[in-house]
Amino acid sequence: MHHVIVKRFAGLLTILLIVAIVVFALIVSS
Amino acid sequence: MGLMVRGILWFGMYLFLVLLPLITAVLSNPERIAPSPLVALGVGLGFVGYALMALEFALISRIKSAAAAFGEDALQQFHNTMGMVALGFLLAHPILLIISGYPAKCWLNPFASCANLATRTAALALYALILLVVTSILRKKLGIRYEVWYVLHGLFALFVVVASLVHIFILGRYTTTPAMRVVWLVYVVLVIGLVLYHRILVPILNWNKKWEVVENRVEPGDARTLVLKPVGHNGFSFEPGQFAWLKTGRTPFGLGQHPISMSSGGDVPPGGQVTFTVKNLGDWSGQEVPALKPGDTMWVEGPHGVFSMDREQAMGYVFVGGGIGITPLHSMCQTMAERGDPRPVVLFYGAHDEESLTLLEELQALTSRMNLTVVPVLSHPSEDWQGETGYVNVDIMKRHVPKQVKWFKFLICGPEQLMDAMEEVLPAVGIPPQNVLTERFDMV
Repeated sequence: MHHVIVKRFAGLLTILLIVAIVVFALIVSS
Repeated sequence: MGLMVRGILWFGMYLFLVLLPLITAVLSNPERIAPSPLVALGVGLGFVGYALMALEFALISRIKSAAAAFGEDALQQFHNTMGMVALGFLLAHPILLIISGYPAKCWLNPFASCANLATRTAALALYALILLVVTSILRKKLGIRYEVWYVLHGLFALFVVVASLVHIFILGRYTTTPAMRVVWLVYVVLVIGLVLYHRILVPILNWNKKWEVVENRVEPGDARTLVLKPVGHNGFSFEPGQFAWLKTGRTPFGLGQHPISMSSGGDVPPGGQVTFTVKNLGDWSGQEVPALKPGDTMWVEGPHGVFSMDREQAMGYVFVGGGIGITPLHSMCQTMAERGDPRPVVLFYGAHDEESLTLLEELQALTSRMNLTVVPVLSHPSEDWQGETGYVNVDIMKRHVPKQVKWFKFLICGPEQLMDAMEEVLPAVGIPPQNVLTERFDMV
């Protein structure tokens, strides 16, 4: 698999995780 | 099961385990987690950062089913990248909590009078994680021997996971429900299971699979070729281009393991010899490998890897190799010659000078047995050099590849600079990414 693809994939996953954490924070503190 | 389906399943499991603490916390007792959004954000970052850290063990534990779907070098890169993401999350975790009013002195200074076991384990885990990532990125610059780093890396990682767990349990805020306690135990079981599998079970399974050095010969380019034969077992056949983890020493429990590509043909008969070509990169390859003599014991764990023309059927191939990245490509050419494969192969071989062209003679000998064109490209040739000079680039490629190259598959293996250049350039000149397969030789 391409190095570039792995980097992009990891970048997208990181964004997804941050979104999940923000949603989590909103749910539990509301 | 197809590789694509397997890949999706493995990634789905990875994502589920990364998000498991968040999901469980929301479902079990949301009202007790955090008094403000900022604290909740800090807690969430800690949860996911911890899960990412625990799963780092899984990414490098060479689970064959997962490695087959993604490629071991891709999993290694993913491990490196997600390690840095975990560090980012776990750095942001205390920062947000301190901004929310947690006393910085107690949480960051384990020797402060207000520090307790929960804060001390948190601070020490964080500092160990920083050290772990920094020593990994700067290992070569800091001059740390690979074997020393390998042991420290594992110990630091275990310490981070255990200390973080102690921090979570002593704090007690996120272990109040049975569901949350089970979640944290899942990671403990996962990490302990993977360490036991990787460091104990695999060596035990290899105990009866000893290999013996038959020949250790010097190659051009400061490399050595090790010819090994299996002792008391059948050895293995492999897909040309694959690699194995080599260990020296009396037992298979030694800590230093080295990913080395097989350079011989892959269709090995039962009990047949397998050949590895090792470049002197200092440490093990520069000190222990030259000292190996016929009759010495070696341990071979493999085969591993998905970099093989057997997985990429095409009308023909363009191989691009740099440095010792030539070894898997030599294995592919050798195998094609042995099989009588008539498909055309153009091999671009980037090297510093004539002296550094490892296995060139063997490759040139293969041109009479198969449809192979070898194009060495030297960056610092002698004045007598008549061939291509500079670095492998699109112009040089265009001079040597046939018109129907768009039907060919490109297999590229070499140092980072070559890989980066090729991965960017080939799509730009019309070679679709799905026609390009790469393997990086910077796994460790």
